[in-house]
Amino acid sequence: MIKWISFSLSILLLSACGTSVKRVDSDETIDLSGAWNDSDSRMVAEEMIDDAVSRPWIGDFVSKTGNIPTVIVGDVRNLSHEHINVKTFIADMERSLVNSGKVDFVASSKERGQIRDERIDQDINAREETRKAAGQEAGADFMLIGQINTIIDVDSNEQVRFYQVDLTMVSMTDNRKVWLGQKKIKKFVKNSKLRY
Amino acid sequence: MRFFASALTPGLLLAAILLQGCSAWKVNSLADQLQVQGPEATLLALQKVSPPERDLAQYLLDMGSLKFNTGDFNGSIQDLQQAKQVMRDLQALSVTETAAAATINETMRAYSGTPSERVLNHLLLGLNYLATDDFDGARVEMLQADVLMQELAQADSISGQLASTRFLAGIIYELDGEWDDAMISYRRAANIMKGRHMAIPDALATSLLKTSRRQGFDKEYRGYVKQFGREAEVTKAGDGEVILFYSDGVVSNIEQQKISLYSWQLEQAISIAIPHYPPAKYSPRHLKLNVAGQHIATSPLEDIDALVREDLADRMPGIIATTTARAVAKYYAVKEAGKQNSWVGIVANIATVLSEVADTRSWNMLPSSFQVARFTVPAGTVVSINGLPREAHSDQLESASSGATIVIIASSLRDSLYYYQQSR
Repeated sequence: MIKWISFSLSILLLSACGTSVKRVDSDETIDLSGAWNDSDSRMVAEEMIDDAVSRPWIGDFVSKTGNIPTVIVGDVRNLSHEHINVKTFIADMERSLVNSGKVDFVASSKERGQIRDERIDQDINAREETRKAAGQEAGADFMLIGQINTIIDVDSNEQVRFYQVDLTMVSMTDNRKVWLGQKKIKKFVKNSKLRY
Repeated sequence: MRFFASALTPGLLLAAILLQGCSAWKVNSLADQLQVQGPEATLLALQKVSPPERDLAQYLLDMGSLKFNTGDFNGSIQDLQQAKQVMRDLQALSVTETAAAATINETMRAYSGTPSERVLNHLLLGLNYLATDDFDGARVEMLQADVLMQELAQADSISGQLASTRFLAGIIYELDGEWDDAMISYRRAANIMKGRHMAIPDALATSLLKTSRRQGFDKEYRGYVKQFGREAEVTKAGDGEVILFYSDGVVSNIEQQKISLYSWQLEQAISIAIPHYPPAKYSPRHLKLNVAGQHIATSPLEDIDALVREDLADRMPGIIATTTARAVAKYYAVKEAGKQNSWVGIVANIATVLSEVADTRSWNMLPSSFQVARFTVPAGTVVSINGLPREAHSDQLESASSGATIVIIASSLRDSLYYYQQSR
């Protein structure tokens, strides 16, 4: 009986080890499953945009037009093996682009629709001196497009996950590709063959 | 007092086992009634079941397939993605579950899905993503299914290799303009069907002909022309195309069967409980369409009723070995208990007999078969589906007759159709 009670108590004690929460810095890298995560998204976006804004295409444009280029982020297609939230990756890139101060940045086509609706609403409801006129939008000079690809190699409980992010800056005037960026990430994931 | 204390442990153990077996029984009886009750009523009933943690994957798979059939595609995606994660985590061998299974019964193991179920999960997710217009999401599922099927591939078996998933992958790659990958997927689908001695459906023949000719694989194309007795169809500008996925019926449930085996260790016959499928009663019903007066019917691409039996047959040698070893261990345990106290021996005997149940868990709310049809819709042609009200599908089929490619998802469990449309 004593043995049985001790066994039951140990089971109860073990089951008491439930959920625990620890706050961590949002920049801290935590790899759990080996899949694409927030750190990959942030690091890739920062490194690639740093590279993009340090290349000669910006200088060439400024010397030709006298203005800093205006950029829009287009589609970044997820062609990988994972359901990657491309929206967070695009948001990371937009943040890095704006914060670089080397380019102007315009809203995406979806965001523009919302702003245009608001402008129409202002025409009816806002005071005249505060209304914003239509037809004054800044057109983009370049569009940033790209894709995320993966190659997965699996053997038993071991996996090599290779990610390749390709970004291209395309001139809106003549479709010239003025910058090509590539970032690769390789992860070796080993899953346990045993669990409790 | 000592008697009560000694009898308490097997008694409590027995009560716990019987209570926990209750949810598995409820899920199985709901699956048995699915065809009659329909997916909506079954979903409501299943939502009232609280499965033990170890049955979570089976519960989520069933919830996902019911939501797929009621048209709640986002809900289905959520459940099936969670089931995928749970099954992936359970692939490692559990020390405690193995010990419990060796001493009590196989249901003590967490349900981790059969190889076919794990691949079918990707197929259903792919169709869900298409129905929610998330093409890239569907493509991700096909890539994951490819990795999984490579992991499951064995030199001497096609266990875990699914023609339906390869075919859907081919369609998705084709729609994306990835013709090489589409060709590889169609070839693999055909090889799997050959391995299972199934006839190649017209839709797959059309895909093989069309893709091999487009890629300029002349020798291979000529081979297909000879095999299928027809050339690839030439489509004109303005023609549309329909690719129809039809899930028919409800897959069989696993039942328990008691068999007698001779134990050399005990030198006597022992009775063990093993899972088994009753003889298949399923006979496919096809969805029939009328395209400008021409009659087209869906053809079987995956016989899931046969597939689940194949999976169980693969597992059976292992199940019989562990069940027999457990029966021998229980025999000795009861004998030891009886030596200490005859009443304890009797209680222990009842506990071991009642706890000896077969594992009848499975993804039992899947269809019996996946069927397909693929056909060109000449511009302006009227298409209708027999047995379905015209308003249930007129919008989709009209788009096809004005030059779009439509992937239609239909089920024998519902009247409405869902679709993914790609303009040409």
